[in-house]
Amino acid sequence: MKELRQTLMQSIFEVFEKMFYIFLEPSDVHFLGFDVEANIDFQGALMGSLSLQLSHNMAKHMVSHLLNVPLDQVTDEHVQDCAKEAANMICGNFITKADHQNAYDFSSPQFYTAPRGPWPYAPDGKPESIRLNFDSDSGRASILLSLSN
Amino acid sequence: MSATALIIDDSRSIREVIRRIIRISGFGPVRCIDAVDGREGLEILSREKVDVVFTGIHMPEMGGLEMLGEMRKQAALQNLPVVVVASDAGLRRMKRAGELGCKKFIRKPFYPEEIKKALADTGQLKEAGQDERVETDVDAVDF
Repeated sequence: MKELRQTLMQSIFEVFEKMFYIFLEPSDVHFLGFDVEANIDFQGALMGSLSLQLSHNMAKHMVSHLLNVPLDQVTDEHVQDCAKEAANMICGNFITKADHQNAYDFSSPQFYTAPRGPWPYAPDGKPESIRLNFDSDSGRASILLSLSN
Repeated sequence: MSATALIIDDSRSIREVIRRIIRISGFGPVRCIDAVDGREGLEILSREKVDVVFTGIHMPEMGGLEMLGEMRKQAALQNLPVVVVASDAGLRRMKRAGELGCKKFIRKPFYPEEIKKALADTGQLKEAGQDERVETDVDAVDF
């Protein structure tokens, strides 16, 4: 599990730095009050789901950096597509690093404007879940990986 | 006459990013057409002359590799250069893409230089002015 945690951390840094030009700082604080969430399920030798929660400010900065649009021109549609794609990239990158040999199926990413709370459906501390929290100048992000096998 | 690139991905953001990279890459005027999945991509390929295709893998109606398989059954599309851009880059997926004649496999997340290099390597587009390609340690695989 420790290795998976490290791999997930690498994937998040890689996606945020390469695609969004955002440099995240890991945080021990479990932030509450996220504004948007994107979720994706994966099936293969590893099975589970990955959820990415973002503050609205973080989501807007991600769009702005990715598409080169001013912050005040970022739309809800931009935010939704960008959050879903970020979850998709983190998940695909993580799975490729964690298990390069096998083929996986991925669900279409789902988007929630009112996050489903601080993940009561997969409590922190369970051995099969990994939660990582990040802070940055652009806002906050948190990620939860839940494994079901 | 400008070249045409078909960009297939269910994410509007990714399509926009690839389009923007192509436009600023110094290949001169390139017409970019969007499709949201493989089915729409095939439909466009049946009526448009396209010089290069960029496609994702996992998409709603028809995935990129399934589309590539369909393309290779058609004589007119058998040699059309296809660049796969995907976050799911496991060995089996990449091997399958190679078997289907994928020209290049770019892993997401990617640097702009990777798209530009893939475009140059297809040989379909001529760069305007002198060659100013940036050679980087890119995270992309040639077939």
